[in-house]
Amino acid sequence: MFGAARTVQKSGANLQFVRTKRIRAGLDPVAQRVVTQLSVISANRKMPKMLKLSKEDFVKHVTVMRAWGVVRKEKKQAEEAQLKQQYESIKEANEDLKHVSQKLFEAANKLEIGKRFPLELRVPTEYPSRSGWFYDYTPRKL
Amino acid sequence: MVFVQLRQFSNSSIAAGRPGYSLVKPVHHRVRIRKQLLSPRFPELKLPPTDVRSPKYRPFLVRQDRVKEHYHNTLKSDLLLINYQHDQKDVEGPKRRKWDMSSPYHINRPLQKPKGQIVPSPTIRARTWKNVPFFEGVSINCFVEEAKANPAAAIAAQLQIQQITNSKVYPIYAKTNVPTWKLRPGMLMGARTRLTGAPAHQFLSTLTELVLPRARDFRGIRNSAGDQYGNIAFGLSAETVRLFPEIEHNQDSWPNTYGFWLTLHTSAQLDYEARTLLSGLGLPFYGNEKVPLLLRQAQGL
Amino acid sequence: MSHFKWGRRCLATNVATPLSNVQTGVILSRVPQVTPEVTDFEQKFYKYQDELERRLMWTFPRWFYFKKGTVAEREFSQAQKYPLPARDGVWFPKGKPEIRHGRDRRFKENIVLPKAEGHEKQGESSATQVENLDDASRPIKPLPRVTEADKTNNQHSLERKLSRTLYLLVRQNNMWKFPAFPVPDDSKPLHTIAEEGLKNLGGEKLNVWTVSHTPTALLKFSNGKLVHDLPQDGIREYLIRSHIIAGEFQLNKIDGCEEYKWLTREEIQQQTDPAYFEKIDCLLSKV
Repeated sequence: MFGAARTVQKSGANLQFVRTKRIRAGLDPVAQRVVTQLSVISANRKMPKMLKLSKEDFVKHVTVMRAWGVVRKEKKQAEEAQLKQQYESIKEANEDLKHVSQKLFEAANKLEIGKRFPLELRVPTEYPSRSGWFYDYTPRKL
Repeated sequence: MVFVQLRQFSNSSIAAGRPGYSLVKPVHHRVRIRKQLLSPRFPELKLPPTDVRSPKYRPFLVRQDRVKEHYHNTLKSDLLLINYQHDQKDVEGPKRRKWDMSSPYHINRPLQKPKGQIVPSPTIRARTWKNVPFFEGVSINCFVEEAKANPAAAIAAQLQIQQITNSKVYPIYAKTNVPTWKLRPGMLMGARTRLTGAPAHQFLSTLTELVLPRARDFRGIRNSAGDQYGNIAFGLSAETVRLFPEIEHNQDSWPNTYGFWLTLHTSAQLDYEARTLLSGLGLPFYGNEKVPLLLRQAQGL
Repeated sequence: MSHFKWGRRCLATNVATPLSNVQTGVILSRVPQVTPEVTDFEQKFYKYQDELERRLMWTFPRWFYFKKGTVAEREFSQAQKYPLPARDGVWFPKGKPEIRHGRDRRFKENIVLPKAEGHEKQGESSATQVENLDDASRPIKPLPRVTEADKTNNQHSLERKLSRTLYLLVRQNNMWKFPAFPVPDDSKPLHTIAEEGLKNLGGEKLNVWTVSHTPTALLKFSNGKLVHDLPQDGIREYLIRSHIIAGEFQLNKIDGCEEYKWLTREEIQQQTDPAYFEKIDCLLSKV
């Protein structure tokens, strides 16, 4: 696969001294690079020992995970309930708007294809940015 | 049990002295038996990977996932409102059609293709609080052309993907024989991986915060990209890949980098919803956007 | 055919039907700037999972990152603490070490990064030295999550409570509520009126992104009070959701608005009428 392996010329009967390139031990640099890369991907000799939990530790682990599951479930249910309330609220508002003004209703229910969140609305970071809130905003003149 | 099925053997053949055969297809060819579950050896291999005792166990909730928090705290309720349409009904996608039975050959014939297409389209369900689109994960596919002549390039590509994503990578092998491209089946051609959950979020935030803002050849994701049903793909060039911090800070080990394709999987039902969601996660888009075919058909435009 | 359609559409857009007692309100929010606070339980749980992950991690392939014979490699390997290898005739009370690539594979691996010389000196006199922002390798000093506005409890500031969603509340006609603007007729859609109203109320220097054209809720008022069934002369208020992205809200005292505050959900509960809060509670983010 990785050709260009080193070729060693043994010249037993050659009496004349010839200056040649010194042949280093090991692979040539290209093959060595591939071997290094493979060694990074491979699990060989890098795997830790398997976890062997005692019975008590195992029970502790299961308890911790179950507690986490309970917390997560409560959070999820609360969120879903709130989202449902929001949905009902949107529905109620639109149902009312339909009877108040058909035209406003149609404008409000247009399919929003091409709607984009602004890129300035960023995913929150762990610590605040150095620049702080951008107060000096001036709208672009069209 | 589910597999209790009466196997009726043909009576006439038994009467004629021939060995009988069943008219019902036997089950044992269809049900895959996983032998490791039958064997008493290596009991920990039978455990699911979520169990600590399993050798496959890997904890994944190691820190607060800020992309996930952002989605649940801000994006989700916004997306519910954006996608809301009053009096919305399900839009039936074209499905396989029954034959009209005008010919006797229609009996037992496989169903007709859907009108105007080859495979059926899913039905677009009305949007409620239950099906707000969310980001499912990323697939990364790195096919290296140089690997035809130099298989070491495919190995370097595998390592590159592993370094960027911190996940297990799988090799890609050529499937087809294309003599003009000197491509033969079985050649090692690159790497692929699929990220979900926290690793996918981590990868996405690296991409949107560190890599794409500095990429010169990246204008955004084209608005025409997408598979119609909420999965959006785009490519990164070898130059852009250099901007990933894992590679940028280890330049000596990376004389060559390899571009790859990303597919962003979302649970959106149509592409335009997926784009709205992804823009909320910090990905820019450009170009013209069309009304999806299914909606145009439904509105009779 | 097409001509007729065009004509009809033209007719529909030009004639504006006047509306009475319809308003459009705006839920203007500032989204969280930093990640939400982690509870004590969550913190401990993450710590536990992190330790497990470190224990189950593969050994760091140092030979890939530090080439043999380089200065970086020497510095790196000098900074590491190597475990004691197993030896014949030596008894190890905590079990025989199994060392692969310089790591005892029974335990997690501790990687120590060698410190750059310049930064050690900087660390000693960091209080006096001014941070050089151009130096990319300077030690990372994150800004505090608690800001000046938090300490003074400045409710006009957008830099207060960075981990929470803040909502704009105004005192309009002696009632703390979301700002609302009258809709005279149906010539303009609700969200446009909301955007223009915000511009008039909060000044030009305001970058606001309207989430959707669809109203998110309906509030029914009668004589300045929230009611369930709307009488003939009651006011309908459709709420439009939007986010502030940049700029400063500077109140112009019009439409009966006298004061404004940026408040979190709990503070809104204290500030507003209980009936009003009950109605809008589901629209407010808990984080």
